[in-house]
Amino acid sequence: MEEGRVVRVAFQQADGEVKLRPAVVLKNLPAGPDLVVCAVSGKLHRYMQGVDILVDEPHPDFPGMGLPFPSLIRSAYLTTVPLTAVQDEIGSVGKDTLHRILAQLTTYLQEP
Amino acid sequence: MKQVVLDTAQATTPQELYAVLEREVLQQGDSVKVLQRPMDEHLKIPLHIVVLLAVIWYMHDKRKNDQFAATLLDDVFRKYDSAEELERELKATFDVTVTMETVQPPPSDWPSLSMATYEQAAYGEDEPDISGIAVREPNPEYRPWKKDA
Repeated sequence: MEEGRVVRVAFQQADGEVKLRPAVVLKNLPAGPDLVVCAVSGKLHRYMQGVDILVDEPHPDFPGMGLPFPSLIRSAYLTTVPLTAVQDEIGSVGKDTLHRILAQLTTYLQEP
Repeated sequence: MKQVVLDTAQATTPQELYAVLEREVLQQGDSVKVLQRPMDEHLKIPLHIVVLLAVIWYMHDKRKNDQFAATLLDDVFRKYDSAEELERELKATFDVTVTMETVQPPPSDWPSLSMATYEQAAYGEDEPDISGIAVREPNPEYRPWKKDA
């Protein structure tokens, strides 16, 4: 799965229910194979300055992400998921946005 | 000198262990080898103790020279044919109840548990429904979660 792709991940809940959530693929791990992804949320009120990236209608990546609503790319909400939990690809972010996600995360982690 | 083998798949109660020792005519100088199946490490200790007590009981019983110990072991092993009898007497005499419960091993499906926790932290409770949006490319590796997983 190519880095920068926006995918739908099937998250199974404790009660067995499955929730489909969008995420951006940041890295492929050889084992598994697994993917490092970060969350994409439609709850804009959760925006965190310097960590989240708002992708709304004026943003150049909005049409290509495949989501019909403005969203937050949550750079700091990372997880590793098995490739088998990724249902499909719905879009992608541009190279600039992918670079910004990684740069913001790096900056955030290096802050004292 | 001989070796007596106690297979815990065949004999586990003190009475069964005793019967094996008697059948094999355990004598002074013999060795006892216990064959046990893979089990929880913590279960090996009580099983080991039961085997040792059964051997002590048997040897005292045959020698008849340590009446006190033999009587004590008789009390422990001969008086009660089952754990239920012992439990009843404990309850009747001291009003103490002992119950056994099998502790389930922790789920090995850590990715599922980890992902569920992450989903709760990273997303809102009422996220927009994305089940009907256009798919650019299905993932051939995708495996739906089993309902009972």
